[in-house]
Amino acid sequence: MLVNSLNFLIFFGIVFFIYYIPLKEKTKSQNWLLFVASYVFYGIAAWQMIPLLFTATTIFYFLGFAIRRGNEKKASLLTTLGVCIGVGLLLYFKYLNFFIQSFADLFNTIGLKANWGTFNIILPLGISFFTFRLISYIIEVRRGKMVPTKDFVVFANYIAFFPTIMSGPIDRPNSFIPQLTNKRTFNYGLASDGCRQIIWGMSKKMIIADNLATIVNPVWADIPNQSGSTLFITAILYSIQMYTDFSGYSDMAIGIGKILGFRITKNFNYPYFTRNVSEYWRNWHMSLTSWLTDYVFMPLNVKFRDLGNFGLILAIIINMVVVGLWHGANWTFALFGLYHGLLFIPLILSGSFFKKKKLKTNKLGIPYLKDVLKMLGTFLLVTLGLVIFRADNIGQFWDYINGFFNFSNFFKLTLDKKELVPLALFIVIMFILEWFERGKEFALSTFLTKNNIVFRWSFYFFLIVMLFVMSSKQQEFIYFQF
Amino acid sequence: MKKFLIKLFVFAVLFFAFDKLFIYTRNILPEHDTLDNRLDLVFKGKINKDLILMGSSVGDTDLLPHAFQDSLNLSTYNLSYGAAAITYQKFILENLLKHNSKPKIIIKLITNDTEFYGSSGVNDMGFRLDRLYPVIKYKTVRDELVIREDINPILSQFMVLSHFKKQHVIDLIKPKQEHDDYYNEFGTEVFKDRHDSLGKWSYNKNPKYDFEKENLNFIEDFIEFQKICKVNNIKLIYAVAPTYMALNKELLQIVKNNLLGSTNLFVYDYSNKAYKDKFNFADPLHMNPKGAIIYTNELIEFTKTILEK
Repeated sequence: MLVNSLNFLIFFGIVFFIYYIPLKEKTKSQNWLLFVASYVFYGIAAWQMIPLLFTATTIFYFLGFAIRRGNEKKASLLTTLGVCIGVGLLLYFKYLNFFIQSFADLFNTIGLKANWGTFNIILPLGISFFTFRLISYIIEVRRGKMVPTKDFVVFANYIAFFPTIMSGPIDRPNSFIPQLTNKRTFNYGLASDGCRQIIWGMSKKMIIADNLATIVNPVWADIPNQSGSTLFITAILYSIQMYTDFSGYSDMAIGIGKILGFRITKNFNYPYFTRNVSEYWRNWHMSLTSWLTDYVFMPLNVKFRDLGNFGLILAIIINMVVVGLWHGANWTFALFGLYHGLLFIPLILSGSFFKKKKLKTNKLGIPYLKDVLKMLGTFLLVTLGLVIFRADNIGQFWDYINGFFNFSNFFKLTLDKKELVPLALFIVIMFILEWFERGKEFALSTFLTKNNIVFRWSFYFFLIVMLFVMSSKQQEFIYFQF
Repeated sequence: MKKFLIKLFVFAVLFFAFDKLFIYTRNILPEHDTLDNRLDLVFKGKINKDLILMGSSVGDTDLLPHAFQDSLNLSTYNLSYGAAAITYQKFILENLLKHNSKPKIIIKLITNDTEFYGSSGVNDMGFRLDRLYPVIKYKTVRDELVIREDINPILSQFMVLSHFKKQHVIDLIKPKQEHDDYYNEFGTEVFKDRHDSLGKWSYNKNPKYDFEKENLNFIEDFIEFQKICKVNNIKLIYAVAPTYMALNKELLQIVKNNLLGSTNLFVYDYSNKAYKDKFNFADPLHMNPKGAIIYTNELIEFTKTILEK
């Protein structure tokens, strides 16, 4: 059940009415409803994985108490155990076959025949997201930053909250669990804002991302027969597809959360308006990068601090490779992470890694040329990274890059211009709106509320009409696979 | 909460009313489909002809409707659709019979080699959904699109906007070009810019039928097509169209195995050297106008014998 489907609308409508009418201000009952709704939602997508989700939730629930009650040594041991269970889940479900295959390939390369079979493992939906929440919980308890919750339903909701279980954002327990224990009454402003954010997210996903997928996918399926210009433009389109797909989902999830009275962690902060890779990663998939910064980069940075800049570079490269591998078991993801890690080196050596410069504009709100060029450069670097990310294997990535340099028919653009023109219009509108609202939570945060109701509703009508007319064949969210 | 629900309700009501304004736009869509309005004519009951030609793209390239009309003295119309599988052709036939007077005879071309190839599933490529979009104002078309999981069954009942497709916007943006193909008065697509791709392909002397590519639904519809004709007392000729290869005997056998007694099978004279001459073909699957004359004349002679029966 995709969150942008009619089925979900009906599902959410039912939850909404029960949540706010019979269960009004009954926090415990509301939590029970959310728990049931979350498991139903997850069960519709992958009912076979419900025992796994429930068991993992139960284990970590009790681990939280054990860590809290235990002495220093025991707490430390139990935290390590918890992290091992969490990482073990990921290793088993996501990476086991990859390791077997990689070792077999390695042995075969050096002449040792390794005929190892792989396992038939079904990847549980959302495992990367709920596992990170589980790990985050016990670490925060261990660090003494939060008291383990006694209410199992509250904890289970933190892990399986239906808007975020499939593709995040990855909320932290310190910010999310208190919201589950507090009284939640209907907040008109928050709910309206949530509706706006949902419409915006749906527009990005259904008008732009899904249509881009129908252009991008055929090119990737037939790389050898594409011209250099086609591959170049497709790479750029994929960057936009990736952004609109994932940030579109995040907007919808956050919007749904707002209607239910929750503040979900922001996941994107206009990443394509950033001027270097460091800035980019502070604004792209923020819930993942901040998680990894806290639990991977910071401890590594402390460990390597005696090594100076080299230690910092090492910590960043390891961190970025973990970011890459978090997406899945493929050398392309490792290379994607390594590539981004290497892009940090010039920033560290030039000292601009820690600098946070505010983006300045002229009176019309337009950025200066120097900044535009930096943004463009960052976008192109990110685009190249996403070519690695999108490739099925390193060989396909090389084919793609070689295709760029196929000068014999470089300018023969094989993309369907009829499809591109209306789409380009929407992409431009989106970026203009995002640019002028970049200080706000999302592009429609204040732009609409400043205007009168006729303008506001006309704009909503326009977006909904476009959702009907322009929506292409419904595509799954890219991040569902991770 | 009350204020929120009231606003939401008012918004929904207004949008519901606004949506109905698009009924007019939806209903004039066929008029804007300047390329091919044949389906609209079918639904309007304006295809009242004696002889109907059907098939995929070979129906456009290999047949000359005017020659049939002149030689047989039967009003003739071509309802062939490029890349259309038998399932789509059956849909056209059903609607032709529902909204128009019954033809006396139908000639349906069978593409040598690939007639039954296709991916299975309701959305397989052989069903020309794109040709249904301009005529979406007809309920039959919407019902078919629901079956094919192309439009939402619930939304399409209540929201007119759900009947619109991206293709409509694209067609609106793209003006008709001088070099665009068009359909002549016989319903045949005229390819303005198509040139023979001579020399880039060779004659396949021993084509093999690929059972892995076979779609069993197509065979079912192949039989169903014959039943419809039989029930409606329409003479049916299944005519194998030549491609630049030897006749696929395995395909022919499958055709014969699934033929009802009432259906007439025409197989071109594959010993005729004209069908081995690449100068009679535009590409490996389609004849050029020169080849079409040879094939059409042969088929006309066969049709005469059927009409005399």
